[in-house]
Amino acid sequence: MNTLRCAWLLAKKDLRCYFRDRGAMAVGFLVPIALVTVFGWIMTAISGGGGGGMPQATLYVVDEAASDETRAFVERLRKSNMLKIEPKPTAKPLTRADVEKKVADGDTSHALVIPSGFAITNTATDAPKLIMFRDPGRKMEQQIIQIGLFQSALAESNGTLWWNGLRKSLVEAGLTNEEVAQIQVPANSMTDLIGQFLDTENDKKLEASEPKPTPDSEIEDPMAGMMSFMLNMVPLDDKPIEPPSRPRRVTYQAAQSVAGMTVMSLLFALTGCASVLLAEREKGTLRRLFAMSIPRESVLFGKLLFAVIIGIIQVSILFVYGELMFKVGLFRDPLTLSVLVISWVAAASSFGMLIASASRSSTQGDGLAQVVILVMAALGGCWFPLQMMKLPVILDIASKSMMTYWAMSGFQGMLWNQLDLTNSKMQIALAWQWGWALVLMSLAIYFFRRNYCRD
Amino acid sequence: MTSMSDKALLDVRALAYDYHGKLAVDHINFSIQPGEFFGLLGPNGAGKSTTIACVSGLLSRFRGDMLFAGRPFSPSKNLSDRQHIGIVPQDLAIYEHLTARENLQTFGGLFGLGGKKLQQAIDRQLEIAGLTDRAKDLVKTYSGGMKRRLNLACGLIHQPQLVLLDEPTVGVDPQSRNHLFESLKQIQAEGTTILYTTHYMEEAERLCDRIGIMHGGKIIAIGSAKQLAIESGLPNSNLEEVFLKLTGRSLQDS
Repeated sequence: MNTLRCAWLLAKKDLRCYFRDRGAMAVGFLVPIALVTVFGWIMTAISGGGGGGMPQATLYVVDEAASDETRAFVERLRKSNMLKIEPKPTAKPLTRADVEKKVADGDTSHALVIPSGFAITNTATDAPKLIMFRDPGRKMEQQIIQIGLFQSALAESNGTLWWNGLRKSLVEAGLTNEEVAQIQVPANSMTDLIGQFLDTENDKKLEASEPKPTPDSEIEDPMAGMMSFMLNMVPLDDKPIEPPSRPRRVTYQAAQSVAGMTVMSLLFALTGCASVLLAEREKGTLRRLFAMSIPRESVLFGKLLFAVIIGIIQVSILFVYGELMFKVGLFRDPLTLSVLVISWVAAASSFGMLIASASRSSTQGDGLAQVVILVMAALGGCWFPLQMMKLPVILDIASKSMMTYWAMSGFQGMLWNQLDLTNSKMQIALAWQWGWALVLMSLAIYFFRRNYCRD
Repeated sequence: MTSMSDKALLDVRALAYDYHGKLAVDHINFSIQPGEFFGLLGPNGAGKSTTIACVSGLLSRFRGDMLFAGRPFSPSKNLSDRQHIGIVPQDLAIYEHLTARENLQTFGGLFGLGGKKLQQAIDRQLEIAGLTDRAKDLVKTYSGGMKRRLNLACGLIHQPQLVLLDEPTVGVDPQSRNHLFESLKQIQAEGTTILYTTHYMEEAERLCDRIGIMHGGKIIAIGSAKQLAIESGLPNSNLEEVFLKLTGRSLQDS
């Protein structure tokens, strides 16, 4: 009997066993779906709640001044997409001591106190200042809050805040009041410009006069006002480059999650499929198979075929689920998607076969697989975008040689940049994956012959 | 005049196997006649399982020669030679998430059976194993005895001329053991030759036409239970006493 027919018979047997084993089914299908869902939500949430913009930070506010102006300022803070202001307007107001304790206890990282007598436009040196209680270790929140606070204060002052700051600096630099007054004339026109960009009422009027956007493009960008302001101050010609076919509802984070969790969970699942080889050895069925009139390598190829079939089924289910859940436009280019899936399934299955053929026992195999997969997933960018990580050079090189990195590169290229197979970046990603598949499968055959085919 | 080995189904000559520098099987000779129930009796570590592994093709680095029906026999190198052999391992080498029919289908298919021939072979083995009524149930729902019977049936699915059974009754309850013995006697009656290893002397006495007593990798005596007793000078003794006389140790001590 030829090797292919044997491999198919063995794969068919393993498929039957697999689909009757509820535990294996749960691990193989439900866990990846759960991972995609949870990571999708997490990634979307930490990056600004679906708009693909800045993340949000919680800021406790105590308004001791309780004037019309400070109440308006707090309302402005509440409108910021980057800030989650606590307590809610309906909740009992907190005191300065309350929020100080909250920061000390770690209940929040930042708390803002607006002292009595505070006015946002009052630049007198003895005027009360805002007080920020903060945990100095929470740098990320600090930066988000600084931007949100600056944006809100600037808007609330109708743009005058920047001039007040500039005037103070100019006086400190030694300019006379007359000289400062001369500068104020052109500065006022800039103030108007800033006000135009930051005044939300004005924004609404502008929006009303413009044609209605299509539903897909109704994505709010909390940085838009700030970016417009900045772009008018810096000599910069803004040229956004976006593939025209990218669905407007796709977020980078959702595409990252679907691709990342698919790549990682497929590695786990296919390594699990391959470990059937070890289970068969431990159970004794492998001994019976080896005594049959079939080439021993056909057992290895049978497991490979089984893993590949399960991988393709699993990834298909995951992608359909991911598409329904996150609308990432997976099926826009079926050919590219199919080639990417087959390439990654081949690489991941080969990895599983290597672990199974090189390990002495399933305990050893499982342990080894878990460590290697988690490292490859993290360094390959399956969990979080690598752009967010500042890796040392050695890890950066390691990351770029991981097969997970190239699988992510391929899937992200298709999902986010809308690339197809004619693109050289995609071809390189595929070449790396097939290279890995060949190397790993060759090693798997070597170890299989060494560990399974010798006396 | 033809000698016994000339008409043997399996003729093993000077079989030796080194395991980590130690002779696990030490130049043993034996032959099994067609339709014979031949037993290898010995304690754990005597070399019985290694002998079975050499004959079945699981081990390849052995020395010596084997002939099958007079022709050179090398199952570790020639896959077609394995077609003549069925192996029933000590472990339950069956798939618990498959039904009995599916198990037989898988192993039969791997032996090259297909279509109507495979279905007939499956039906026959299910009948012999007494599993026809439970053929469509998953093996994981079977009792230990039923699993043992299926384990045997999977080794017989391709109707081999020689069946190798490596201590098939270890951990089996008396009722299932009796059923297994009856099945073995039935397949022997149908002309199948059996090579059976055990360290239970009552099994060897009850089942085997001839017995080879193994000790320290060697076959120290061959013959029927009665012949062995006579040749060892203990005509009225059982195999345990014969073994004690031949080796100076009891089966349990060795």
